[in-house]
Amino acid sequence: MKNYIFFFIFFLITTTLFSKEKIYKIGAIIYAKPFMISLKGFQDGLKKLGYKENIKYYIYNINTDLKKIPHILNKLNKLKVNLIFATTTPVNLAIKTLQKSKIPVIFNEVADPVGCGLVKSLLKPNCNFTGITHAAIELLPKRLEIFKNMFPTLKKCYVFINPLEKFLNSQLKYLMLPAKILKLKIIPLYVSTRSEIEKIVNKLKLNSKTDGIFMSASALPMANVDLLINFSRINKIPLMVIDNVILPKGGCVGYSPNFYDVGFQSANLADKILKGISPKNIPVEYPEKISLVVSLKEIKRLNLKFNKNFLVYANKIIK
Amino acid sequence: MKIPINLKILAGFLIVSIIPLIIGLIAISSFLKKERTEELSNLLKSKLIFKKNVFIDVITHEERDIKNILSITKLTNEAYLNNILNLIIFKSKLIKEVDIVSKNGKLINGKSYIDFMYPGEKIKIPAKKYSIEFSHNLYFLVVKSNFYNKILILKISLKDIINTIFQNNSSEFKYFIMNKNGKLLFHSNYIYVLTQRKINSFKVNQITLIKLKSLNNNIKNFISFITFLKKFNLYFGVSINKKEAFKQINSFIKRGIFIILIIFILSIIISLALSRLLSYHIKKLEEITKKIRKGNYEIEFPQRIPKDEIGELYISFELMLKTILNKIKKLNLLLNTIGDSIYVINSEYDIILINKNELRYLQKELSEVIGKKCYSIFANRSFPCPNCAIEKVKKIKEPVFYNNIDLVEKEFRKSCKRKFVNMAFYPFEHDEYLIYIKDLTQIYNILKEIEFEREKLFVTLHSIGDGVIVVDKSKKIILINNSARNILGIRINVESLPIETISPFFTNFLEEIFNEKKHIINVSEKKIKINGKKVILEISIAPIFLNQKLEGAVIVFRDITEKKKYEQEIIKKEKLEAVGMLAAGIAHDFNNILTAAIGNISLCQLYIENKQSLIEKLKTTENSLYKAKNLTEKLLTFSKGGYLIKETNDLRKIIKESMDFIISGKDIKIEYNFQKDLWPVKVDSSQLTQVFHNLALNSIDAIKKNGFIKITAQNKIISKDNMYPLKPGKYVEIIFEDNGIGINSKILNKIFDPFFTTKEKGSGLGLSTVYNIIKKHEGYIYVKSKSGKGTAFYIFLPAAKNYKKEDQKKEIREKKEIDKKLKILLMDDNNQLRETMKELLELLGHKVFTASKGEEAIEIYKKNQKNIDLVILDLTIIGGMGGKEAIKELLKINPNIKAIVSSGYSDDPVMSDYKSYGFIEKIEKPYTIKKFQEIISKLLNQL
Repeated sequence: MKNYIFFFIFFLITTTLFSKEKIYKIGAIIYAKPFMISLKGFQDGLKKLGYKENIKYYIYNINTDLKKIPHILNKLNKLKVNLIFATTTPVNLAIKTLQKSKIPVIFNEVADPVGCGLVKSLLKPNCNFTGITHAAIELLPKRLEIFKNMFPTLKKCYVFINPLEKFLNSQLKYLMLPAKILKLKIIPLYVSTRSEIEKIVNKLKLNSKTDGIFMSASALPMANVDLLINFSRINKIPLMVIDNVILPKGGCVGYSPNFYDVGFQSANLADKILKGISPKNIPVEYPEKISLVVSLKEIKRLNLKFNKNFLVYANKIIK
Repeated sequence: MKIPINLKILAGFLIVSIIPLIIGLIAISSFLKKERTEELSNLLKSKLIFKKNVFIDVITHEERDIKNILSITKLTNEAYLNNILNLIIFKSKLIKEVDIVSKNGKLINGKSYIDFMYPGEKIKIPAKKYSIEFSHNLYFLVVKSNFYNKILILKISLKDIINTIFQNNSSEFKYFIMNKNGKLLFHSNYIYVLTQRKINSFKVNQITLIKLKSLNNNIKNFISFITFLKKFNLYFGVSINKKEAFKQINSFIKRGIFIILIIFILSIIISLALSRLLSYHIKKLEEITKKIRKGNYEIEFPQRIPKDEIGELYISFELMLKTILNKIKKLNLLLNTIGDSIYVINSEYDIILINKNELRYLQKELSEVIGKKCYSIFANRSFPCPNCAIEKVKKIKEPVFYNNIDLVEKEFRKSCKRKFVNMAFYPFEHDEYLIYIKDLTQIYNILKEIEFEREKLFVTLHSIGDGVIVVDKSKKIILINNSARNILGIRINVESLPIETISPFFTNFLEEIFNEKKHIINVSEKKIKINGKKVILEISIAPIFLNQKLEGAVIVFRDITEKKKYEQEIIKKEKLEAVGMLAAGIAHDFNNILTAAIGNISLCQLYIENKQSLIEKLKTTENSLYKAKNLTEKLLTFSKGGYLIKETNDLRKIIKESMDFIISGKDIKIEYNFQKDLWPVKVDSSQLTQVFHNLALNSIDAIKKNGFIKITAQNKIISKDNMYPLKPGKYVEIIFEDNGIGINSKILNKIFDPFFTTKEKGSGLGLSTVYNIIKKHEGYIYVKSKSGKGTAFYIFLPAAKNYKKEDQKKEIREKKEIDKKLKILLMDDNNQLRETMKELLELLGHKVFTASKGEEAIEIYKKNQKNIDLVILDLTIIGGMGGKEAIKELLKINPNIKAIVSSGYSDDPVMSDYKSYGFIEKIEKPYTIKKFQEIISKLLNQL
């Protein structure tokens, strides 16, 4: 009898040990506070996929300071994380340049993963990077279409372009055909620093009826969006934001994948990686959802005339 | 096959515990799997049917809804159409693109959720109503329909449809869509979509197993239920990962296996512990037996032994081991003490055991031999010995014996001491063989020696003149030699006959030997009659003992009849020779006595008027004549034969007189070393004189050159435990030494035997007589001699018991001077003669110098050379330089010296040829005044 009790206790102990779940470690490098929402979506997505107690996050917000990345990578290497969740193109490019251990990286908010050299192709990344493309380039024509349709009086669109981000120059090519069809004139404004943006913002005077600001898929305007909003407000011209996330601060309309949704979608990729699939075989995905957000509040503030149908189309209206 | 006890216990444990568990697990898992399969089948089927219908409904409704909305515009109001299209694109969850295309494929109006669509754009029109398109890394279900003479194209994201349909889907069930060729278009698990070109061999509308390859190349089995959607020309399926489907069962099996494994490990541990507990002592005992089997007897028994049957087994084992060790010790002792050699080898010829005797023979240590090849050690070979018996033993499994073989090793080992051996080869243990070597070389040599000795003895026995008969303890003749046969006159074979049949007179002696246990019986003379003839035998009988047990006797005898006769003859002859020699000595003495007497009588004639002088001379003459009388009496005594006339005598006088007499005239120096207070002896002086004469004669014969005789006499007290056959008491020891050639040690013990002589003309009685005389005087004589160095006789004579010292007075006679005419130096060792002659010559008027020996004469001559006219030299001076030697020295002093030689030995060569020796004249003793005057007168002219 004693033997049976002994075996039973032994069975319980061993099965408990046997069924103990593996703890996954995920590092997250966030470019700035706004991108934290991506991480939230990512975490929620993983939760939905069943990753709850068995996952541990090491989160680093670099606040646009890319110099922190080497140190963070060292730490993550030492921690032997299973994958890195990284937001924005500069962060991911910095990781690609610095990383030696080839930890799988899931990128978010990367405008053009192929164009910036992060992956070889969307279908087959062929490296340790995969993620959700922000489709920033692909969406430029669609976004221009929405901007014109919403503000039918628009004649000129001012676009801030960072000449140092060479791949972004191609954005203009994407815009030319739709602009022509939509009878819009694209006016590029080349800036590479905040002060340069400030200079333009302070000097350039625009027509509130015909002119609009169209945000390019560039990190610099994104980082200095406050200047652009300010510029928009001074000149009372509409601002088409590159990402809907900006709209609560300013800007009239946005058509972009939601940071949260993209993060949420990225969880599927993380699931595959954590299940042992190499990122090089996981195709970069397009955002499953692209949201149209209209800031009625900003439009009213700027006292702009617009196509009110968009209030119907909009997935979200900021009032 | 040996199965260890541990294994047996473990096997038992497993049979009892593990096997039932395994059987149970298999049975339960089989049952559960079967149940699960049925359950899955129903579940998958129901899920698929439901979801399929939903899928169809969604697509159908979506198409219908879009058409309904668009129909409001009738595709004519562009602004309105734009608004509707925007509304669809921005609001629809499924529709990703709506295209209104002309029949020729140009876009009339269209919106995409991602692309900028512009009128006039060329659009590819699908051939069928439903088709699949892949763009933006997504599969789209393209629905084509005619709408108001235009073509309406709807692009619905398959993923979105699936996600919509399976919104609350459990993750374990995966849905998939395949085209009609089986190409996977969609799968709930995205990882299979891009890699799976085609799914082969699946069955429709029933449970089927499909294999899917994931992006990481893992092939997984899915239990699926697939149905074909004819309307969409698609396969629609639902599947569950087989592993996932049976996860619980597999988990159960895994846990079961794990538990079994744990039980297995525990079984091993427990069984090991149990077996260790149970078999520890058994193993210990097994180890002990193994050690014993390997020959290691240094066994340490556990200090703690259980108090049970195993403990008793230990005690029994220990006792058994002690008994074995004791036996092994004895066996080893036996093995190592036997004088024969033993090897134990295996079939590979490796030496496993060797005894000490063989190690001694090989002069090697045990470690140098064990494990080596026997042929390398035994015969110094590099390969087995030809015709090695081991091979034969291996075959026949019986011992093989080689008796008295020439040892094979001798071919290879020159130093081999074994020449003949007996060898035996025995099968020993399994794969082991015992080689036994008995070295017969020594026995062989001994046998050869015995054979030789026997032959030698046989030849000797049959060659010697003595008769030898050997009898056994029943007095039967075992051996009789030829001489015995001849002496006893036996012509027949008498061996094995009783001794009394041939010689009854031996029986009594044999009785003494056998009954009275006498060791040796010597019979010097036994007169018996053989074939009527009287024979004298000298018999010696000795017993033969074997292991202190009387086994027989040897009778040695010789016929001494002839010898006895001869001996008597020789004794007679010797006596005559002795008498002759004595007579010669006596004659010399007589000559001197007579010379003195004649001289005195001559003087008496001169002193006829001088009465006093006359009386003195007559007395002197009388004394001389008394001496002659005594001498005559002794001669008579000797001639009467052997009676001792013992008188107390001064040994020194006897020795001197004897030696002076015998050495006189010989070129031998004699030295006396007498103790001052030497005890007198009671001896027959004449017989003792004979002793010294004989010893002196032997010395004279032995001395070759520069002869020297030393006679020592000293007192000696002989104690009880003396080494000589003498009674204790006072003795005088006389040592008679010479520097002659000595006596050979081989004959030293025979020199006192009668008739033993080394001289060509010797009688062999000289030393025998000496021995007998000393023995008669209750004394003892023995000899020491070194060949080439000399001989020493040691004589012990009893000292006289009641002796009163007598003063020995010398007679000094005064001589009257006669007319001196010459100055004469007279040298003579006889004092009386010298004094008489001096007196006579002085009466004649000569001046006389006297000297007793040559040396003295030379000294006197040197001092008085001018005063000496004539020298008279006695030829023979006892114990000093004689005339012959003295004249040589004197001639050196004065080559013109006038010297006369005098001697009683007229036949001496010097006397006959005196001139050649430097003398001018000779005068023979005894000489008279008249004769002397005649010679003086004759020589006056020369003087």
